[in-house]
Amino acid sequence: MSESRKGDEHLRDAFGAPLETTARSPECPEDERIWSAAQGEADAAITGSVLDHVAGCSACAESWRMARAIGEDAGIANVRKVPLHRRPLVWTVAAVAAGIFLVALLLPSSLDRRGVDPLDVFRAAESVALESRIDESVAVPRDRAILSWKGAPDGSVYTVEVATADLEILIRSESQVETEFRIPTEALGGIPDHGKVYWRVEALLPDSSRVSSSVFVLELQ
Amino acid sequence: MKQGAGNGTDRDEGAIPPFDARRLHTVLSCAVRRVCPAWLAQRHEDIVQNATVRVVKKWSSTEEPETLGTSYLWRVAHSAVMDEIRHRRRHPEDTWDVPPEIPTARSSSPELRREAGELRRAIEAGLKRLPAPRRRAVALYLLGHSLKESAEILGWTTKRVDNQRYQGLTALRRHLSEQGYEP
Repeated sequence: MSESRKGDEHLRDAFGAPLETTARSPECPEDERIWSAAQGEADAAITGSVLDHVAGCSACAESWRMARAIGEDAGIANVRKVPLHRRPLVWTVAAVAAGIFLVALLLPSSLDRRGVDPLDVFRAAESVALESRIDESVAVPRDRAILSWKGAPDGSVYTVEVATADLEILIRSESQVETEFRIPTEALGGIPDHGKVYWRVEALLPDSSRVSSSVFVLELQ
Repeated sequence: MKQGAGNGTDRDEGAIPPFDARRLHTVLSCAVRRVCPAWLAQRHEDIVQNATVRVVKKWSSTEEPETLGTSYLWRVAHSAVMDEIRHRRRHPEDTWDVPPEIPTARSSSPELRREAGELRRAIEAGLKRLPAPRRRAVALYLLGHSLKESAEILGWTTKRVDNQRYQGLTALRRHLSEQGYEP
């Protein structure tokens, strides 16, 4: 049988279009389970049961399709299992920070905002928005991979982070006072031609508050 | 505030190096950015926050958090984005930015959408009648997976996928014909 039959396109379209009345039911598997099955990470029994459900549920079929699209785009199947820690102790400490963060999310008023507060990492000042000056539609030569941003007041200090498509941090530069950062060519050694890197900036404002940017994309030639 | 580290270590929050927390935020932001459809871009940071909460909960309940890798973060990002999409569909009145669209719908005509919905239900009914192996092979085909991908997902040979898919599609087309559709 050929990979795909012409006349099947409308079947796929119909199967793919989420119904307007679509809603998850209690029987729907969790999205994380759908993700695992779609990436081929789940065992056969789970994959089978998820697929049986997806075949009759447009809400979960949509979740599956999105998982597939992401996996295809990012090459998830080949994503290395890069641990998020540098050493176990750091993780332990990070877990404490995370716990504090969770409590703080639930009880924001309980925080002493004047102290050293890990929540600052996640908190965005209401009046400042960091914006990229880079045109994301234009690929740049890797020897001229210059990030540029605006939006924070004079006197701000910046931290820039650059990551690969599979979420590995390539470089982190702290204590920047300029609103530009040139990514060293050697840091981009593992990025293929036309590959993309993801970057964000965090600003320490003169009033000691912190602002994080969204994540921006830079495509290399 | 003072908290135990959970493994007998006693540290206060002042000792927390910020790098890893920042790193988590960065990688989740990257993942959400890649997962998030354009029409949800303005909700990006909220989705990252929701994803972060999930990771935090997982951290708290996992004995070996160091085993959580980037694959897990992708999964969390996907899940957080799907939740947001569903919320937007259920509560379009909450939308204060771009009106939500159905990303994969090919038609904006209510009539065509209704027809597509009917065909979708007919396909679901047809799939339900198939034996499980054929149903799964056909479902993967309709979801856009290639033979090779399907074989990897199901743990079968491509030959088996091809065979089950062929027989399943034949039966599905027959079912649709009986229902008045011309597949």
